[in-house]
Amino acid sequence: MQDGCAVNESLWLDQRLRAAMLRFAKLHIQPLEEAEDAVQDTLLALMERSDRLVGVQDIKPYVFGILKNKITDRLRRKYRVSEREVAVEMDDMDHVLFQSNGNWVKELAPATWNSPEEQLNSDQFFAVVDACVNDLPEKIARVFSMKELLDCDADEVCSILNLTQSDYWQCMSRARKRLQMCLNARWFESSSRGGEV
Amino acid sequence: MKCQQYVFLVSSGQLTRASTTQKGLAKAHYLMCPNCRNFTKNDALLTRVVQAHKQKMLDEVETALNQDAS
Repeated sequence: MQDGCAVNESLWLDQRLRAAMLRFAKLHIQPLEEAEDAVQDTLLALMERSDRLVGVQDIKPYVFGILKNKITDRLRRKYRVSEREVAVEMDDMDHVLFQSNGNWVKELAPATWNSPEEQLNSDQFFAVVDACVNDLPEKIARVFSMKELLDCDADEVCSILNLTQSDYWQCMSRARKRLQMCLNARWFESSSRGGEV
Repeated sequence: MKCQQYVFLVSSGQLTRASTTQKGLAKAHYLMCPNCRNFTKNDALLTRVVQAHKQKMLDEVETALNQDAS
């Protein structure tokens, strides 16, 4: 984006750029058509502000900021008018992971993940991460992705999605437990169990 | 404190807003339970993994923008 920054009409036709943004937007907005609309809004905003981008060395935070605003605007409109979502039901994962006395089911107790630094350089690993994130139930995924991917704080997530703080905590806990179990099953269990057990 | 309660406090993010008493109970549980220590370490790594995943997605956007500019 250096040297005059060619943020112009050609962006509109850049399928690769659209696809990259859509991949991110889809994590937050359903159905697909609405995620596509958020991407179009972002591209339009980029083109309208192209003069401000001349000479910008690091375009990523700027684009991310616009995309985040377009996504959260849509979510806010969608959930402001709807009734408060029903409270999150009991966590079905807990029935699987824990005994009735609250202790871990022995066979499912976690082992520490091996060679974490190595995993962070693996494209295959991130394909599994992507699959696990996309497998989260819709409401849980929405809360988790707003917090972790859009960098919204808890109060902002609750305000935009019309959630209680209790619902927010339930969603975050379920998401993180499910992701940990998913990565265990699809990636880490194939390597030898290490760390403390 | 039981494992189920401890795991909820950690994975929900509620621990940061918990009372001093709750934090003390959670710390005691962490020290005595190897399974929950493992869960906590993995949960911390999960945060790094998700942040790296986000960066990769944003890098794809940046790469596409840079190609468009060249």
